[in-house]
Amino acid sequence: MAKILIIDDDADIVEATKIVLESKGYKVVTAYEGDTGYKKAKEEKPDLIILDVMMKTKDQGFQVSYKLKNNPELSTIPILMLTSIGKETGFKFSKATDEDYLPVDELVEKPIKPKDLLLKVGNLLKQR
Amino acid sequence: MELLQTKVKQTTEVHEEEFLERLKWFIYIRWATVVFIIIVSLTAINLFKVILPTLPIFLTALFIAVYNAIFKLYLIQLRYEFLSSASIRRLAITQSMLDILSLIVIIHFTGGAENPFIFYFIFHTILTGMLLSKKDSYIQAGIISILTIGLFVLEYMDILPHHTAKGFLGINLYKNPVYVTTISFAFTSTIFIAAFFTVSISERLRLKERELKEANLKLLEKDRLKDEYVKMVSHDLKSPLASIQSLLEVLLGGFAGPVDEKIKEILQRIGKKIEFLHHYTKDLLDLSRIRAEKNLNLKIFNIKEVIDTAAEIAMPKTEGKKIQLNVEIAKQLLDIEADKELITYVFLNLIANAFKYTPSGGKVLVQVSQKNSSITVEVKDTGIGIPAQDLPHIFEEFFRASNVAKTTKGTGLGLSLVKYIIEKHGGNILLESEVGKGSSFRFTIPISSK
Repeated sequence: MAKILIIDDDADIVEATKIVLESKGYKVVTAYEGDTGYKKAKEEKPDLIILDVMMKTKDQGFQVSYKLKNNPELSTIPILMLTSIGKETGFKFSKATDEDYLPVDELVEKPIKPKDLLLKVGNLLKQR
Repeated sequence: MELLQTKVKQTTEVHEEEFLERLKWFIYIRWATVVFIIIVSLTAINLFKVILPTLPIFLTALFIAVYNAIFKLYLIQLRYEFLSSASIRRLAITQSMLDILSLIVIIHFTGGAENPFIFYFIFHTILTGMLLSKKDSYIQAGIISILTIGLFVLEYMDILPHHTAKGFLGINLYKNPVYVTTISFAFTSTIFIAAFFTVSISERLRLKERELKEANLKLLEKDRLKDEYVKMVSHDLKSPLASIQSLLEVLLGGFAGPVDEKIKEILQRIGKKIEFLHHYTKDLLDLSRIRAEKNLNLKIFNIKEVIDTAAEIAMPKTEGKKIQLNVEIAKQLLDIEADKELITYVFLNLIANAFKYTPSGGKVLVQVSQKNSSITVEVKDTGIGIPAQDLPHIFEEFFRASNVAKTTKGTGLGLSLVKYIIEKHGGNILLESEVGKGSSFRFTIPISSK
């Protein structure tokens, strides 16, 4: 079964996401901070990464996604980015318009419903 | 703090730019001076029959023209290079010294102490006083006085030959000790008083300028902090709500074990309240953010793209109801120039409202047409409508129509912001509605809001 890495500084979100994913048999690895997350990605070679935007700094998630996509060993891992800052930064992180500078495969605003989460995860893993 | 420092640095650069601007201005004045020297000399010689040594005068004028041209070329090739304020100061002082020397030479050849044009040094003092520091200005005034008095004394003592402007003054005033002393005193005091006034005024101006710049910097910094603050608060308010919602969803979905019907119902009630709180927070933050924005961030964009984005974001508002959305855009209409984010917000609100208040099986129509230099957008639904007595208040902040205030959740902020945004773009919005039949919002904005 696919291995998924969750990187988010909000332990509750991590827990909620983890429970949902594990219920479908996915193996879940977690990290509560961007740099640790990147390290874990190198060690664990997950099949998918769920990444938060605002962590230690307000755009740490973006930096981590850049690092991931620029590392040839990790660049093929799909990234599902979760954010709670989409609207108030003015739709600037809309996937449709900013694909070029936002190297993620999917961008979802928090909270994500379990059904949608599983669907998106399933789709991203299938595309791989 | 880091930002503040870089900005402070910028202001000193601006000051140096001004400095260079003034130096360029001086170059023009110097050309005018050359022309003036030639015209006055020729007039004196030809019209008033004054006898002047034309060769040295014109040679000096030529000398001024030559170094002026050199400075001009120097400034041109300098344009893209960085220049420290110290080197600009050196440049200014060099020019000023050359000016003083040239003028002294001309004074020497045109009558020395007898030449009333010596008082033209006052202009030199004023102009450089505007540019140089207080100390430098007084040093300049000192140099001018010493050189001028030195010239008078040397001519008086016959160490330097005296060139009388024959035909101007018949008597040899330069040999009259009372005259030389008086003119020296009058001249020196004039130069120093001029330097004093110029320095005091320009110092006060510079101080005011600096104060204004600092105040402006502080304002910019405050503005930035406020934006940061709104963003942080927004994140900090919404994050815990998102966590609660996620955890609730886990419980409701039975991912943490079976949930019986009664508990499920209570969890759903909690979920509804949290969702409302989430929505309310978002609306309040949108309100403060959009209201705080002073200028429109104008961009050229495709209107269809914005409608598509808005419709996509509004989709959850259908809550599974079957609602048909039709978008009709006039063919020739491609791009408009407006604040993309705000116009998206307008469409998002109008479409989400239409979805929210239209029962399953209903229709929502978005029509965009162009007339002259403006576009008209109509968002029309077959929803529950708005009671007639509520129509005049519907765009007021926090107002909610009487037929929905009890039954559906909402903040009453969306439409007030929509109206605000449209008016900010120089447009207007109208509403037609009939209870039970539906509502139609029609707004007009210029194709370009420049």
